[in-house]
This record gives sequence, C-alpha cells and structure tokens, in this order.
Amino acid sequence: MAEDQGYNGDVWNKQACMLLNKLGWTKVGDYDIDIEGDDNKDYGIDSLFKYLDVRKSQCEQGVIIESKCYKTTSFKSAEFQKWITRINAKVNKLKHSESLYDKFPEFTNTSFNNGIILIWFSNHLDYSNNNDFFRDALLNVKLPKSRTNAVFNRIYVLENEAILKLCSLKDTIEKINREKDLELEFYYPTSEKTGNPIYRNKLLTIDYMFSKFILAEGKNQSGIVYRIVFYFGNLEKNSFRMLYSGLNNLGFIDYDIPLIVYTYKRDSQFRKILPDIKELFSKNINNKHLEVEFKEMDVFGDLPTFLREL
Amino acid sequence: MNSNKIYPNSYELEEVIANIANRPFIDSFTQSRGIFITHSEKKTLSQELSNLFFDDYDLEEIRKVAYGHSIKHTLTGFLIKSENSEFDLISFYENIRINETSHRKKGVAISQLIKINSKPGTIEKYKGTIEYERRRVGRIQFLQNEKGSFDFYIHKKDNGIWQVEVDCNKSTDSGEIFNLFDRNINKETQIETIDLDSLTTKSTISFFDALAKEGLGKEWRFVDVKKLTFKRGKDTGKDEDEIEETVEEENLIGISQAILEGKNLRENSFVKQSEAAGYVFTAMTFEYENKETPYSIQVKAEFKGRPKVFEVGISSYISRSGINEEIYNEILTESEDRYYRTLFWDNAKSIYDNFKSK
Repeated sequence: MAEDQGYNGDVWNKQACMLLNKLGWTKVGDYDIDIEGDDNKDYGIDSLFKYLDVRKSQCEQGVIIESKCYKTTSFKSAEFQKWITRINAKVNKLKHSESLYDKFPEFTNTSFNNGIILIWFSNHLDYSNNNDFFRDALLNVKLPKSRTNAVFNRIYVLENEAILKLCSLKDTIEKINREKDLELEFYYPTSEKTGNPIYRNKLLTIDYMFSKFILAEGKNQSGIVYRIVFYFGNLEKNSFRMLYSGLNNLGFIDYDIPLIVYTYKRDSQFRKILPDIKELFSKNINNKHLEVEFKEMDVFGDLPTFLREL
Repeated sequence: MNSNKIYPNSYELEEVIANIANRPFIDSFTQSRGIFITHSEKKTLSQELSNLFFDDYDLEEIRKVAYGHSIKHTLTGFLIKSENSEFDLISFYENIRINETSHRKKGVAISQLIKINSKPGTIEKYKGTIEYERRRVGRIQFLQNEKGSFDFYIHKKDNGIWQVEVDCNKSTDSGEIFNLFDRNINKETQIETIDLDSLTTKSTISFFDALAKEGLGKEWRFVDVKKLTFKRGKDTGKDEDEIEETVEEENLIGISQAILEGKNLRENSFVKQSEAAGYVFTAMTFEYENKETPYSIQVKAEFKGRPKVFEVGISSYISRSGINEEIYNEILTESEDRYYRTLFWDNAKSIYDNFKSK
C-alpha cells in the first residue's frame, strides 16, 4: 500500500494534531471518525479542529484535517489531485450537514469551509534533497472553476518543510519564554482593510503559518516588553530592507521596545552583512535608536521530540 | 532607503494582485505555496493573499508580473542602414554610451558591448544590456519605480547595414534601444523595423501565410495554426478604437488546411469574410515539426505595442517518444531559444520586405 498506513498513519495523525494543539488550535472530537454529509453518505475524517481567525474575520473557523504519511517513492501527482478533490468534497458535504452540528455543536457558529492536508514524507532526508516533484504536484492541481457568488473553500497543504518550520517556531517560543521569563503571544497588527485593532493571542492563524514573517510580543515579570519577529525569508540586505519597511508600516518598530529578530534560513554570508543590517534597524533618530538583536532559530532535521511523546 | 524596498500595505497588495497580475500567475503563486481556494474569482484570491506577510522575493515576483515582465522572452529587432558603407554601429553605439547624457537623465544605463564567442566562419555578434528605471504615477507606491533590463545583440549584415536584435522581457523594451539610436542618427542613416502600419490588410494576410511556410526555414515542417488573433478598427492609439478577437478552433482547422495544401490563405472563406469585415491579422501561433527528429515547436508571431512592431516568442518545445508517441515538454537552453527566435525574425524580415507597401 502506498501510504504508510496503519500504525504509521495513525501516529502521524496524532503528531499532526499535537502540533496544531501546540499552536493554539482546539481539537474537536476523536481521531478517525465518520460523519454523515448532507447527501446522507458517510465521510471519513482524520480529525477536526477549530481556531479563531483573529485578524481577518474575527470568526471561528472549522477545519477538516487530513494527515498523510508517505514515502517520496510512493507519491503520485495524480493521487495528490485526488486528495485535494476529496477534501474539498468533504468540506462541501459537511458544511451543511445536520449530523456534523448535532455531534459537534462547537461548530455551530464557525465558518466551516477549510481543509488542511498535512503530508509527512517519512524519508525526510530524500525529500529535503529533492522536493521538486512536490512543487510540480502543487502546481498541477486543477481546481473547480470559479462561479459567480459560489462559496469558496480554503484548502491548505503543509509538507515537511512547512511542518518543521512550525516546529522550530514552537520550539523557539518556548526557549524565549524560559530565557526571558515571559509568556509570548502572537501579535496581530491592525488591518486597514478590516479596521480591526491590534490583537495578541497565543494562537497562530493559518495566514501566519503561510507568511514569511510572524510577529510576537511578551512582557516579563519586571514589566519589560519584548517584540519578536520570526523571519523565514532570505538573508540578504535587500530582504532585510523590505522586512524593516514592512515592520515599520505595521507599526511594529518602537524605539522604546527592544526587538529581537529570529532568522530561520542559513546563509554563510549573513554574518558579513549583519553589521549593516543592525545599522539599518537601529538607525539613530532624535537621539534614540532601536535596541535590536538578531538570533537564529534551531532548524530541525526531523520531527522534534516534543511531537514524538505520544 | 532604496525606494523599491517599500513594503506594500494589504490594500495595495490586494489591488495589485486583483487588477494588475494575471490569473495564471495568481494561481501558480498561490498553489506553489500550498494554498488552494476553490471556486474563487481573482478578487477572492487577492483578498486571501493580501493577508499574508511576504518577503522581498515574493514581492518582487508580484511586482514583475504587475509591470508586465514575462518569463518568456520575445525577440524583436530592426536594421540600421547607412548610405555610408563604412558606417560602424559598434563605434557609433560606443560614442553614444560615453558622450550622450539624455539617456542617463531618463534613468537608462547602457552597458559596454561584449563580443560573443562565435565559431570560425560565423558572423561576429556583440551583446549589450540596457537597464532602465521608470517612474509610474499612481496611488500604489509599491509599483512606482519600475526597474527593468534586457539584452540586445548587434551584428553586421552588409556594408553599411547592421541588425539589432532585442531580447525583450516586455514588449516596450525594444523602444528603449530604438529611441537611443533614433535620436542620434543623421540624415544618411535610417532605421527599418517590421511594423504593421507598412502592410495593407491584404499583404498582412499574405505575410502570415508566408511565415507559416518559411518562418523556421527548411529543417522544419509547418503542421498547424494553434492560435490566430485579429484586430478590428484603426490603430488610433486608443484602446477603445481597437477590438482584438481570437479565432475559434473550428476556423483554425480550415486555415491550417489551406496553408498545408499550399492554397492562398486569402481564398479561405473565413479569412475572406474577416478581411471584408475590416479585420487585420495581428498574431499567429504556428506549430512546426522537425523533418528529421521527433521534436515540435510552437512559435508565436505577433505585432505588438504602439506602433505595432513584430516580435517572436517560443510558446512550447516538445518531443514525442515511444510507440504511443507520448508527449514530453522539453526545455530549450537560453541560446537555443534565442536562436529559433532570431531565425524566425530574420526570415520574417525578408518576407516583410517583399510585401511592404504592396
């Protein structure tokens, strides 16, 4: 069988759920359940989650999770298309299903139009050496065509690199909390489109999962506030110029609040340009300059132990 | 700070993605990141994407598409002809590069020419690069300073005659180098392009007809017309005076058949009707197969811009293999791609010279 089914598949489903739990999402119901759709057919679901979409809609989101554990050699692009089609069909059939809301009233006031496929390639080293095949599969997916006034579904795919990135994020947050003696929260800046005010929460939204930088803030026992940027982009001067501009536009640069930028990527040239980047961030305005530090996040070469403790 | 490093706010991002970027780009940009929004219109996708925080590379990708930079290059060109048989375009260019100041004031940087290594017996070619910065007026700060660059190639065709080939990232690129020469040449020198205005409706059809047969030379056999675009109305410089239409597949079959049978394309009933209704051919995509190898190539020949100048692009390159002749997408190297575009443009120029003002 292509999928590392059975024990491995079950283990990965639990690990994937644990990761989402650690990022502030709420698991609803058990693992591997059948729910009757609005067409009276049963749909097999790996797990269900909900989370509060704090920045975009300020509405709770219901999410169907599909966990896939595969070897790169067993993966087929055509099969991937089927996964997307299938999870989209599940979202469509469950969002109006009486059975879903009877079993899980927690979803009654949610926007139930989301699905996430978390695919873990168990031969991670092979995957990290060559994952072009997966990018091709993503690009080759054909989606149902747009229809005027059709209600859209959001389907997201997280693969090894995205999953390990989230693991690093969680790991770094815990280290910061220990070192600085604080409880870091994600920082959702105000949005000129929605008019929503700044929001701080331990929950990581799906938009942040797919962003190149994530903002966080925390206050220690002595009342010192720290602002943190988790940066997943390239480590070049121009990239940091753009990052600085972005942070400034979002009102995240404050000369009275120390800033720590955690970088994720590795680049041997980065140390050489670091003084210039520090200067860019801490330039002196009205005799004030920003207190800024650059640190590295630990990068995992496999699933971390905090996901293995099942 | 570099003005190009201004992070757009989410409103700007949404506007640029929804109104300026094209749908195939938005789909691939979204899907390559693992995001799939079903039944979505451009507006929905742009709203979703504008909520993410991007890095410099992502934003540059969006900006390039918004500026109209294409991943696929096209080739256009022109001839510079001088009554003076000693005219040397290489020195002429070098003189402009060193002494002319107006291009610098316009934010255009022109490079020194580099002689390209050529095999013995082949023509000597020189390569140059032009970089430009264009300031755009508009509310979207993210798009205000467009930076672009392109390569061009110069070679001598005959005494006093030089050919300039422009490897365009976007159609307006050729105008940068054309204007550079145009404002510096004297009365005994003239520039010749392939432009639609010099062809009558009748000769435009004959031009495309001949291109189908001779465009890629003797090694390639014409197989099919994959796409044909018509323009109706006069080129007054206003979009509302022009209507472009793409011909349906059923009519393309008849057109391909007429070309394959060596008939005069103007005799085809659909073409006749179109000509009578005041339509002018502006673009055709031809498919050719190699006479000796299992390769096929699709070439798009198009009159584009204002004035409508002829340009050539390679749409696809495929091979067939196995008993079932399965099709594989092949990748041409940069120089092979340019070779076919140049070959096609050269042949187009000869055909054009025959039909010009006939």
